[in-house]
Amino acid sequence: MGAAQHEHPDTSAPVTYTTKVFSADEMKRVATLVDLIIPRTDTPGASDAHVPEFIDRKLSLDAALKERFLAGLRAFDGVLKDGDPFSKLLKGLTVDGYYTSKEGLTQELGWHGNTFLTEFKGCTHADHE
Amino acid sequence: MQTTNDVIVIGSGASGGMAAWNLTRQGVDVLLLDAGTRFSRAKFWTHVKPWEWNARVDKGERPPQFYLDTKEQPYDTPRGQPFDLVRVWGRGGKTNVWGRVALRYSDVDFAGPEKDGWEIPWPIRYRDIKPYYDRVDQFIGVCGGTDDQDSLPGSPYMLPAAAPRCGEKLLQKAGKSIGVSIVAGRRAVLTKPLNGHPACHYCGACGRGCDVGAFFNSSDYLIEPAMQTGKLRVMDNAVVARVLVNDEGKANGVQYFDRVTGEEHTLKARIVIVAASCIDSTRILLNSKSHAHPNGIGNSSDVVGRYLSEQIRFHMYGFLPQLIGAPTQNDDGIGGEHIYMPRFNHRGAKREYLRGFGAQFWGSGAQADAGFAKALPGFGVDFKTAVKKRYPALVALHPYGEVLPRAENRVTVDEKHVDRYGVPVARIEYKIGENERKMAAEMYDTAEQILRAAKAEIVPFERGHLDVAGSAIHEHGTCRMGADQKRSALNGFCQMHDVPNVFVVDGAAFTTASEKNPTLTILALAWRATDYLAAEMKAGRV
Repeated sequence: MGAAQHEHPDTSAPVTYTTKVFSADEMKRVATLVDLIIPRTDTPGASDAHVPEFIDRKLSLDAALKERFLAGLRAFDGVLKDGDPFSKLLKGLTVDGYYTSKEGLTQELGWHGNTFLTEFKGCTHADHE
Repeated sequence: MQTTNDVIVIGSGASGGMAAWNLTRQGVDVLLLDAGTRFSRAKFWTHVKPWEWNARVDKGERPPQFYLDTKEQPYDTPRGQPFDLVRVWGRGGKTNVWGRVALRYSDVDFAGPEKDGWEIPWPIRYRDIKPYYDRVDQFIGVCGGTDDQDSLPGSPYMLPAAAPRCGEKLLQKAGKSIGVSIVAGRRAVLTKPLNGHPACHYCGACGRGCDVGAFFNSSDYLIEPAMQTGKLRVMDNAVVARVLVNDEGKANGVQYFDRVTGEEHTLKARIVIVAASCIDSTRILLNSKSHAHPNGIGNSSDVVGRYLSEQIRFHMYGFLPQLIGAPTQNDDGIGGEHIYMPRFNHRGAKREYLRGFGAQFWGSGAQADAGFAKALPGFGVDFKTAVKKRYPALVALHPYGEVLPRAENRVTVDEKHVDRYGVPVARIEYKIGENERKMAAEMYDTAEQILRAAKAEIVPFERGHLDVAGSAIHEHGTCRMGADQKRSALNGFCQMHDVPNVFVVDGAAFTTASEKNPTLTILALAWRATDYLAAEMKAGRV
């Protein structure tokens, strides 16, 4: 079993995503909000990582979630607060979307897993003994 | 004239695969009925990155559908008393996606009921099963350390242990400082090539099925070699409904439905081995009603369906100060934890509850997501920075505790609720009691003490919260073995007391659940049971 057999083509090439749930205005509003949660810094922000599309897709697969989210979005005063149910819902979806995106996972967090290694060294730090 | 099969095995998971493999290699002809089909390793999504997943789905591709949809096969639970039942119908069953934790039971487990007097004793002891654990370790490949404790017997046949990650090393050190032993994980993952199977390539995505077969799965390790003997025939999409009997109440075949066409068929057999996984096996037995067995086959004791024992479990998370802000490492390893906390509460002061708990640690270190971030406060740059700093520092504790066998925790079948073939579905009634709640308190204390000793920043938790029943996916006990024929359904060789030509070799056969993951013990018990069966067949006794 060689490494070559484990080189799979990157199928993440951006396909044009057609919004399933949000209107154009809602997409814009959600993009603004998710960027307030995870803004662009020296690494991409949430909307750079297509989090609004991630949320749209998720809502399209779950009617109850969709209803809850859209009702929350309509009533939302635009100020994110810890303890506010809609802020919590939006933050959860943003975390799920951003930190599983290529931008969030590799550029921001530095994840470089799910690959082919011939050995696993584990912790090599003497001070962790 | 329909031919009569020597042995029919129902189910292709750990227990059915072992039964088929061990009998065929001893010259016995076996027909194995699988409720699904073979999962093709070439089509596993083992190396699909998280962000590639949706793009593939958009193109109309699908990952392998391991898990049985309850829309196809429902089951009942009482209102407000959920039980999450996870089933994989298809070659290898749950071993395609199992957690690979491979722990030996000890006499702390086997002799536990005698010691505390709760329910019936196991009919076997560690010495009875030890030779089979030795064989299973060598056959499937289990990596681990050289540790050996009264609650977790060692094995001379371990493959090299997976090196601990930074967080795991620090937890071991923290455990040591408070007298809690945290040992090398014992996992059925090949850290070296073994018996023609390749070594692990440390991609960490075992839960999506291993694309090279570097951890034990029943399909590649047992069923394929068994087919090469020419003695095994496998029938796909055969959903068994009942074990059939003759006028004397002896099994003489099975009734099954074709999962594709829905057609009903019967097959004749001299011996039937039930290995459909605890709940589905129990459903088959209870639905196998006849004049001789009005209460379900082999159930004159009325224990079949009762004493369902799963395990209690919860999760606690923390961030280790030495690792906050550290560079991100590839922490995939063999997928899941490289360490394990064996049971220790049988030592020292007598507890206010019976039985015990251990702990697993999967999800420590850099993961392919950052779900923990939901528990961190704030928004914006500060939040983003806080997540990044904690990402390499995450450690996770998952204590598992034994649930006592109780008659009222049971599986029944209801003639009024039938599946698409007209066969009654299983109804699962299951509750934990005061004993488990007391144990959970010490489980919470222990997890918290380990994290405190590690000086971890502990993620806020709700003390006493437990996962939904069934979440550990460790169902046991509904067709238990025992010496007393009035209080058990099977003898120590998984043979029915009432019907000597029926064997039940999966988790249903366990007398108690223990705190441990059952698969290694299922394999050892099924190997032992089918050695006994092969000898009985040779002697002409069954």
